Amino acid sequence: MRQTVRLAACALLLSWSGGALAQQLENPRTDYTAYTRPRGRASVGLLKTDLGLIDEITIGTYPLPWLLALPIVKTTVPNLYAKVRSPWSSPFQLALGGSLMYVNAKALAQLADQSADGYGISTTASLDSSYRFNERFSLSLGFDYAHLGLYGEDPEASIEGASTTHTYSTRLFGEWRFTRVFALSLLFRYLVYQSPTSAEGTSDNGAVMVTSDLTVEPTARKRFTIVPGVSFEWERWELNAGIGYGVFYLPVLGLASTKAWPVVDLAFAYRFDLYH
Amino acid sequence: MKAPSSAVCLLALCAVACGGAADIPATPDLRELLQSYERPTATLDGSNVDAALKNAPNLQALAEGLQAVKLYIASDVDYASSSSSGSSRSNLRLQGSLGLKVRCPGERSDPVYDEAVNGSVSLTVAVAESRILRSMGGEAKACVMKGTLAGLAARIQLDGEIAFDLGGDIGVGQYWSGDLLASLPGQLRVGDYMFESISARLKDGRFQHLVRLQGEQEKTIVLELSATGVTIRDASGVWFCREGQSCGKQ
Repeated sequence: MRQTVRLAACALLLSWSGGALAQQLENPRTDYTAYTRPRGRASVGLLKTDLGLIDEITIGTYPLPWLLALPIVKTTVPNLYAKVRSPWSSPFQLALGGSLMYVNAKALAQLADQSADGYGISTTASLDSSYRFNERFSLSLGFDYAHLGLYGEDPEASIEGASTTHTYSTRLFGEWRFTRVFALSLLFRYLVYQSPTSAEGTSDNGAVMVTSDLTVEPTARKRFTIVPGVSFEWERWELNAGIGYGVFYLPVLGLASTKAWPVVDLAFAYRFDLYH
Repeated sequence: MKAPSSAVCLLALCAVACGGAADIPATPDLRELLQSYERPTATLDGSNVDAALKNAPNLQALAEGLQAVKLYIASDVDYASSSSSGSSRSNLRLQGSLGLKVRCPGERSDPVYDEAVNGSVSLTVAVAESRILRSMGGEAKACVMKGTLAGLAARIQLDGEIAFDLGGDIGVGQYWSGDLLASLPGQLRVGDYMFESISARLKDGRFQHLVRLQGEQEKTIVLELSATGVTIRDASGVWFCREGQSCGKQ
């Protein structure tokens, strides 16, 4: 029985490959790779939304902090990212990316401490290279940098200060496309370095003022993440899903967890052309 | 090839220079002084033990002064410990420095935390492995505190360099309840009494004072106050001196 189901599944997958892989080349996967959206094409999802301004430049945002943050932190968390790809037409592509997120005082107060007053800024940068060996298989190598700074002041308790940390990581991403719709993927990430979190601050209770120059770092550090996954590219919809294990990178912020966890990688979006 | 090499160098440099753990400041080394309190080196006999006690400073006043200093230092160290505890968890390592600027309260019953009026104390506290290190140093500038002497309110003033040993490291977020060794190369005034370049210790609730005997450079004894008199420890043993009587070896 199990054998029959397997054969049926294989037959179904192979039947999708009739349209060859041309469409896939028009809609390459944009996360973990150097590829960008074609000019005028938008992809709208709750986790990630982006638009190909021109073939070489994609801009986007993570809607979740904008929208779902509202009922939780009673304010919105604006964020933006951009990716610029190499202009040449070749199996080998390079791309530079970056993102910026701003967390205002109200959000910080809701998330961290009712009395907190301040703001947070998260920036990330990435360098990606991708090589398409053939229509079925591509391999991408990327380097990520993430920086998070929290800057606060609480006039009532007279507490002010800053907390910053940054992370360097590298990743290898392979995608093996079986049909125009279905592909298997494997993501491997290695945390090169995460700085001790710097916590500088001043607190004053009237009798004594304490100026702290401290850093915090985990006593043990995990470094590896491996996430096997699947990718579906329908005509209008795209779904990328993976489940793995290892260091968990905070979405948008890019900062790594100190422990290894089960890791879920998910992206689901609707694709359409805004202009040509 | 030049550009990529430079980029790699920059990345490597930044990985080292842009981050890194905070520096742990140097703290006063009071181990030798602690050792002197544990093992006095002079050997007294019946002929000089009374003279040693007679030449000692007013122990009661010194003890009151040290108690007052401990009272304020304890609350300030506790405040520093609690204000840093937000960053401390068992799986995290905290290190760096805490700078304390203590505004002294003055001698009145209602404290006036104005350093222009009642002076201040600056202390540098080192934090390593999520613990406040036991030794700390700093400087007092005409720091005025309220104390008692013979049951009456007394003005206590601290000036000059200061160094403390808390008897043990303190976990960040925990309170200090241990011993205190104070090395005060400057001045401590307790009422009308003036002490210069002295050390004193509170151990297990008992007050101790190290005396360097005149004419004997490295020879020391430790005087300890008790409810009924003064205990003198030397290299050979313990003497007890009841008030108004000669000292006897125990």
